[in-house]
Amino acid sequence: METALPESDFVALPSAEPMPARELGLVTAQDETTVVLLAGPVASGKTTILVSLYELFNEGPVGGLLFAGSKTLVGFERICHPNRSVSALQAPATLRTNPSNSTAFLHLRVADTAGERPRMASLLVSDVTGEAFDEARDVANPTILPKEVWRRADILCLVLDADKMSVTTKRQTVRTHARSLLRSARESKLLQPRCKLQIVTTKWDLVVNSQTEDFVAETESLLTEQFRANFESISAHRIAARPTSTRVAYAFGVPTLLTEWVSRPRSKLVVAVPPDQARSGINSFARRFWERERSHLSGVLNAV
Amino acid sequence: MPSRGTVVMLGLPGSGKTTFLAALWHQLESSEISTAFIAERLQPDREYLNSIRDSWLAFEELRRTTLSAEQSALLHLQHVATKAHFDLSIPDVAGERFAQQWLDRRLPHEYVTQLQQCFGILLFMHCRQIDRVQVLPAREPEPSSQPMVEWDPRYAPTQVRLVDLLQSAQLIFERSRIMRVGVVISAWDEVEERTTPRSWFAKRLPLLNQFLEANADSVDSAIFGVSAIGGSLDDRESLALTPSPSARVRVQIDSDFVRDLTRPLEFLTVEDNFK
Repeated sequence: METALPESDFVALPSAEPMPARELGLVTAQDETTVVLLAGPVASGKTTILVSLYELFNEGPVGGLLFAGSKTLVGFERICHPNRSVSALQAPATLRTNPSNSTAFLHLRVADTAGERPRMASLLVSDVTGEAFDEARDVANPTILPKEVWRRADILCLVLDADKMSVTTKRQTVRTHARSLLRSARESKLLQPRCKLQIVTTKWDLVVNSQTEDFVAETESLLTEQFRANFESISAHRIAARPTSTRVAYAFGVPTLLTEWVSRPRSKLVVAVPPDQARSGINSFARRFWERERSHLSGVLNAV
Repeated sequence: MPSRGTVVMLGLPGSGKTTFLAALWHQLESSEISTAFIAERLQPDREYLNSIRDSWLAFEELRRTTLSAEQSALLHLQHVATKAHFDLSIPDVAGERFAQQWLDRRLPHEYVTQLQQCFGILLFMHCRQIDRVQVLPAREPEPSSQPMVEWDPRYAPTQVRLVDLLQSAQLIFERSRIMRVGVVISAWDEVEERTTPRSWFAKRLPLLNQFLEANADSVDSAIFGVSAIGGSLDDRESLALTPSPSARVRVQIDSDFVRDLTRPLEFLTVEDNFK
């Protein structure tokens, strides 16, 4: 495309792609922020929750909250693409999260306008890959998703796949893996005591009014009882982000999940960035943007 | 309150920026109708404005501003009610620049400078060029489904691109002032239903509407439905019968109809909006 301007006359913008962990401080020091880790096995529906949430905002407010912006619009557009007719797919799909992107966060800024003045809040949501989930179960010091990121989580959203739980020979594996992750997180001190646990059962439309409901309820109770002392609070949610039947509405349970993400008290902790994680490849304009952002922040950021 | 500054016109290609500018110039220069601003004196170089105005007068379809043909219009204005004087610079920037911002994630230096000191922004959108998301109905995939078309930033819906434009502008805009955004829905005569610009906007661009509402503490916005041509160019014979070219224009503000294209400028420039 003809630009009529030389390259040197342009300045670069932030990419609007998912944010790496080292950039979280730009958000957490500016806004009251909730960091949410969506953790669960491969294909359990984690990304679909985010797709559903973003598509809902494209149609209007969600759970009484207004969309107030996002630093990762391109990231959201990418994950939503297979959900849309422009993809040329016959049915909506969700791409598997790229394992090399395991520490990337999607950002949403929302406004609660119920009070006299809008209350702004930011959400940083990480779609933890299945590989990172398995590693956290298996080792004391995970590297795919570093400890620093686990410890920053305000909410651990533990995702259980109802579809798998409806298969008799698979359901105990789902429960065991969930329990195993929570135990590993406890003993490795992956999570802060102030972290809240949400036990989220996805694909609820496939099991509603079936016998699997009892197994899900039992699993929720067992996990709550066993790990009550390790979290600030535990709640259970049943959702169908993109139901394939009409038994439940589209995005069933997703607005409630969102309002709980936003309602919990949030700290203004700044994510500590190890000094060796230099911000390479960032152009001067983006740096000036962020430095300008930092000049308005009250927190202290590690130099990058 | 500053008396000299820029009004930045933002909008994707074909959103009506140049047509607005052509009709605005005619109303100011001709004084055919009462307007909130008057052109108190002519600027030395009026060639570009006269050129686009002539095309507008002749019912010619104004060619899209190309990247190599961008111009800037300078207007010496006086606000009738307050007698305040303004020197407004209005760059007529090609819509491709803003399309490039989303695609290439970059901005011209010059645009950044304009935004830093501008009075405010006129955000243009053509009422018939709003790309909406079409979500696939949920069902089980079939084995013989065709492969997925890879994602391209061009597939992003209009409202997402416009949120991105405003977010970038918000970062650049001076934080000591509230950023004023006049949303101009162009070709308003083509909107068939009886509605207000604000209701239409909230229904067609709900994400962008939420963004403006949520950020009301730092972004002050108003919505204008504008028909700068007055109707379809196919109806030029009957449009030519209006008493004056200025009288072809229609601007809807809430439920009120006026002909004055300086009203969006008035929203951006008048009243102290310094924090």
